[in-house]
Amino acid sequence: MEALIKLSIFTLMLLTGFIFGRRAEKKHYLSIFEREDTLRHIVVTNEKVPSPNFIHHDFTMVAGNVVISVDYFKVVSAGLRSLVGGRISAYESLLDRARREAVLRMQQQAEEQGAETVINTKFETSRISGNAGQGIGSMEVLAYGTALIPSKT
Amino acid sequence: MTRLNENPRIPEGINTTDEHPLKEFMLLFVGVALSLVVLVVILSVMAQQLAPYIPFRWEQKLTQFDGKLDPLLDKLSTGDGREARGKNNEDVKAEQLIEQNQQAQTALQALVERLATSMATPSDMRFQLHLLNEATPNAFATLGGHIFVTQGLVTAVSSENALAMVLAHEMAHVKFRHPIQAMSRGALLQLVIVAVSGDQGSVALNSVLGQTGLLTILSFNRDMERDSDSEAMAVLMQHYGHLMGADEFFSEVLSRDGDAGWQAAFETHPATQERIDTIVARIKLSQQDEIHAQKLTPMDASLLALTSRVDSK
Repeated sequence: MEALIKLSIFTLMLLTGFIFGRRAEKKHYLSIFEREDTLRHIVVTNEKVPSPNFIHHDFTMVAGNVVISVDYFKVVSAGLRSLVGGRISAYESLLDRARREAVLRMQQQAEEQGAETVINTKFETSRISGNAGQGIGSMEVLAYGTALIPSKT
Repeated sequence: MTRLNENPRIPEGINTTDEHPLKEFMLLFVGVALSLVVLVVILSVMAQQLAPYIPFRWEQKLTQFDGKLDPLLDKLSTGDGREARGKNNEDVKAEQLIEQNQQAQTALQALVERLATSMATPSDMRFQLHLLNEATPNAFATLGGHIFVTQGLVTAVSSENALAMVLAHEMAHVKFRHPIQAMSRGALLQLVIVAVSGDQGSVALNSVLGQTGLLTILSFNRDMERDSDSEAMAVLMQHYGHLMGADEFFSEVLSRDGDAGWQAAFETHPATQERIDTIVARIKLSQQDEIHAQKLTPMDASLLALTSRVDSK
């Protein structure tokens, strides 16, 4: 009986994780696609030295950061995967979303400051609840770069 | 080298996969669960085959400390409380009860010894009976040949035959080395679960693995019960020459608690009705070629004293 209760709680958590996690992921991707199109004119590159036509631009640092939580379904899925090895596709989509969202936020910051482009873009990624041990983790991505703004003078 | 004036549109599905997450999950889940079941079955069979080769002496040692019975087991049995000495009326009464219990335990032990002569047990196997001060009818066998019987069981049956059926059943467990098999298997499964799930520390995974193991154990124990029932009936047949009264305990418990109540207490046992049906079928079979009269053997006086004590309350 006790085993049955435990099993049903587990199933319920798994189902909740799957339904809400899947819904959140779909919504997030739709929003990413839409915003990537609207911000396509802010060119993001990783070149270190600006090309000569930007020589008189002002520059400032812009950054975008995002934290996305893992859901229970992904945790269990990854746990099973860790027994046999291979790609953890459940986490790959998470990283993809976090990276693109971080770039979008950086682009938005650049646009609000009237920038034309962002160069020297760098990424940092970490696991925020890395020390939580058994707890559910989340993924943090920070994107930062140098925004080049046309000089007003 | 020209500079792009717009961020390029990078095709989807390079860093991610379009595959439905449930598909991957199911594949992994079924695969891991199946291989775990196979592993558990192999280990269980190994435990079942190899555990009987563990010397009975070792098994006895497991339940003993400094040559004495495990203090916990000792406390459970009615032998405890001997030091309760006093002068007033209640203490004298308590002392009488203890005396009664000890006589009953001796009588039960004697019955066990008698039954053991009809059971082909290894020479070094000893049965040690303990009477528990407990009203719920119950009996169980553990490591080292220790058999526990509650007072409730003694008072629930009316003939020695019914009592002997239960005792022989528990003795059969010991004879077939079921307790050590169960323990070996339990320990092995625990080891597997820790080894498989311990590293990634996922509590959830741990519980899934635990469930899989549990279900497998359950199905094995039913086989053990059936074997013990059948061995017990063979012993009764040899000792009393008939199987009359063998089903009494089960019928008694069933009529009082219903099937569900019984199963709650003994979840690993096969459905009581199924067991009664088997026993009754065997009784009928034995009656066909039995011409002389079959009599129930009355219980020992010291055991009847327990019953009358309950009745007078």
